[in-house]
Amino acid sequence: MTRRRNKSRKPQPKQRILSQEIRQQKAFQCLKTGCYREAVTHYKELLKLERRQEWIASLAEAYHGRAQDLTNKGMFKEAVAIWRNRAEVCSCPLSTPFFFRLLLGAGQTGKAVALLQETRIDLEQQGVLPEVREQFAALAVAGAAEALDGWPADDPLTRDCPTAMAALEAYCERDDERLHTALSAIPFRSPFRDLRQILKALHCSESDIESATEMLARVPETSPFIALARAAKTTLLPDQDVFSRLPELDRETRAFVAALKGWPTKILPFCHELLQLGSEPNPEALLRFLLRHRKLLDAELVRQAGCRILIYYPKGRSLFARSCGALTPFERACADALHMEEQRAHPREIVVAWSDAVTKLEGLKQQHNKEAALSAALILRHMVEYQVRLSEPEYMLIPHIEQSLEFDPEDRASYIRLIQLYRKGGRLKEARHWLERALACFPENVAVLEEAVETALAGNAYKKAAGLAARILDKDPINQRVRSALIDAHLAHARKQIGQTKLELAAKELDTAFSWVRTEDDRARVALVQGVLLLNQGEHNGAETRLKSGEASSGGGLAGRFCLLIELVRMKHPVPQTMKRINLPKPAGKPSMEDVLRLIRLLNDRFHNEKNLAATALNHLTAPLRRAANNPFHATEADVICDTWGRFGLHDLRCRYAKSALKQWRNMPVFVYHKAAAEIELPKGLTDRTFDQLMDAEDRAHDAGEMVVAQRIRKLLDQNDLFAADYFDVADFPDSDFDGDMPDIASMIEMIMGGNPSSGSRGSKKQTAEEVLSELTAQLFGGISGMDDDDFPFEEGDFDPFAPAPKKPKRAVKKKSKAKPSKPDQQDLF
Amino acid sequence: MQDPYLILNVPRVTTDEQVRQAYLAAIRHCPPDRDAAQFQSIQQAYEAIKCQRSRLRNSLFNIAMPAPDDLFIQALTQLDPAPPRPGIKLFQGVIKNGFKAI
Repeated sequence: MTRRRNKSRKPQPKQRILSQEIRQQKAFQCLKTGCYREAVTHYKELLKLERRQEWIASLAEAYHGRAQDLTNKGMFKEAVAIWRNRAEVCSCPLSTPFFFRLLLGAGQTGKAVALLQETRIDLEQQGVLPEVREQFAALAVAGAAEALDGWPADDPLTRDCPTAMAALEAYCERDDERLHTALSAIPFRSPFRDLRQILKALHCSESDIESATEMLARVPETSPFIALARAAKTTLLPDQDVFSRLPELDRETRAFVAALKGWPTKILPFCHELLQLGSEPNPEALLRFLLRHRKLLDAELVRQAGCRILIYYPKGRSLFARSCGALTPFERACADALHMEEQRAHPREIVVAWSDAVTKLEGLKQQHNKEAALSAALILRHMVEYQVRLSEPEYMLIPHIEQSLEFDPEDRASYIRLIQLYRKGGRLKEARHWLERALACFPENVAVLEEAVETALAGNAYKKAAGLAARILDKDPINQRVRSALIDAHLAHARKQIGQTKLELAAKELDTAFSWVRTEDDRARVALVQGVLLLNQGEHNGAETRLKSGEASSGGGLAGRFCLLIELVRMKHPVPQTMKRINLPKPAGKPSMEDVLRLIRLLNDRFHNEKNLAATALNHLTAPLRRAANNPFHATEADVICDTWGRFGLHDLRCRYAKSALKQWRNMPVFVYHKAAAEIELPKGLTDRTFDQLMDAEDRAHDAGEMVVAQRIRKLLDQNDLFAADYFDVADFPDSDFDGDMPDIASMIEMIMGGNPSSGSRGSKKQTAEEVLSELTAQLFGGISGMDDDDFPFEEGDFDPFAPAPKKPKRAVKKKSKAKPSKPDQQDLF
Repeated sequence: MQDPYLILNVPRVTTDEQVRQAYLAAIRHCPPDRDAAQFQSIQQAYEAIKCQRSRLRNSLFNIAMPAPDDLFIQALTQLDPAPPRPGIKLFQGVIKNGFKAI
């Protein structure tokens, strides 16, 4: 048998013998860095070699530091022993104020009294007796009768002690007069002066917290009454702050603070238990606590708080029901829905859960149950917020908003949202219906009136819009948005009249528009339409002046020229001829970055609803815009520019700017995306190289955490790739009873879907897809013995895994007509 | 403290006017330059319960777990207060403990 080694016993390190110099250095270093224990060892070793005075002094210092460390840890007895060693080894005096503190801290009151009696005269001679006296004063107040032993009858301690105790008693008995008398009888230099200060502050705190705080701040940190002062200071805080500080306090101080705060005694056990739960309690523990102490709390509050805990701890429902009664169907439905929200479930599930809650709302069918109706309305609006996250077409929101307004017809925001939705969808009749209802509830509300202006403008009711806008400006003269809308209304009316050759009426309309002008921008817009009117009137000189002034007021440059062009295009003036007629040269040279960015801002701010018109006008500016593509834009600016060209259908410009940006930031995913998105729309179509770059860019965007870019690329790929999620989505497969086999099948589907779309050629992917689908079909249906064709779960034509994908878009899209992504400006269909 | 009713010190069954008065008193007592965080919590509390619609919304959709300090304050408001003066023994206990915390 082999002999076992005793593994638990650690080998003792060999004692290294240090040279005197090294030990001295180490000792000094330890002392300096507060490693007193090690310093004591080193200096003791050094003293064995030689009793050098400086080493003795350093050892005494190290002992002092060590004793202090031990007291900080509450190890008073050990500290007392260290101090005794110090006195013995270093020949230092034992009796010091610090040693008395150690003795009192260790509870060795008798020894402290005996030592005092022995050394009182020495202490007096050293001038430290007042400090020791203060400690004995605190001891006397703390109820230790022996604290007064050994002090002469005429000593301030013996003399003032009865007065201090009388003051304390008077305070506790609420005898303010006696308290006042006793406090004023305690002299300024008395060892009880800090107690006097504290009692005075406590008395004062009942009427003036600030003064009390100041008084307590005057108690020195070294005072033996400091613990009392700190406790008193805590009581000056508001209840909730005191509660949060309770864990830092010992049991006695907690009781003292609670008594000073006037808290009932019942609250302390409640408090102790609550504190044990921590600041973020476990839901189960909190529920149990709540139910255990429910009699201390309001019953309704317990129910509400309990319901909120159940969101996090649904298993606790039966526990809750035993104490507070079962949850009502509505409470249960709400708890389910909120639990889903807390679990971040799919928005659709949350919508369904809330919808269920509405159906369970008690009293909803009673006509006068306002609270139930309001609850239903709020839940329906809450559902709408989750529906928005579903990225469903906006019209899907309408039924819930409408229903919510039936329950609660006084919600302005819902009216406005509904009107905007209807207007956006081009359903002006419905928009007007809800506008009428909104105006009936809020006839003078500016936001509702603004919607009325927008709705009137959308229906080409310019006169009505102008009237409404004027009404708003009466109430809110600095409303620039409405002022602009009003000018727009007049301008639109003027354009309509120009189109109908009612030129005089148009001139009048433009004069009215001009009367509302306050800004240079509005002035420019009016001037441009006036210029067009003059063109129609054949006054070319006047038109030239007006149009040039309008162009300049619009900021000049590309933006100014664009504003001019858009007016000409809007009024169907042939652009090249008109420009020649009014002597306006084509923009020459390369436009600056600022010039391009100003135009981009203008397009995004003002023309998002007139994209086709803007695109037609921009076609007359393509030459200078192409020249500006190689300007050194910032990456974010270049992104916005590419995005803008894309939204306005200027794909050639988008491609050019993206290519230019890629020269600056090689392979940056966002510009690869813009380039690819533009190429798809151009006649040349998406090249294989760009496609590969796009796949690579998606990975890199993902790795770099640029999730928005990664998602945009994914969307683009989905719209143009065979293995796109549009064709197959695992989530679209209905739930099945095939518990055992489903994971495999799911993983196969995942494989078909292309976990890594970049791997393999497209041809091989298709082949793999067909093979795996055939395997899948065989497993799903073929494996079920005795299944006839009639038993096949799909009707013919419903689902054919090998049927060509609907409207299969080619990767290299040659023609715009194929697989064209929906135009961004396309409105939701109703 | 999270409970808006406790922050504004209003009862659970309250009126818009009561809430408004409590809010005004709270911000008078704690203007933003004195304690910005507290001021913000007062603002949020007011927004949460300023009208019947907000109060109902708060009760329907608030998913925050009840905070321990809220429960404590709730319990405190349910109990009758004791006279706010401790006995001599409590004073003595604190001073005695003070010797152990030099």
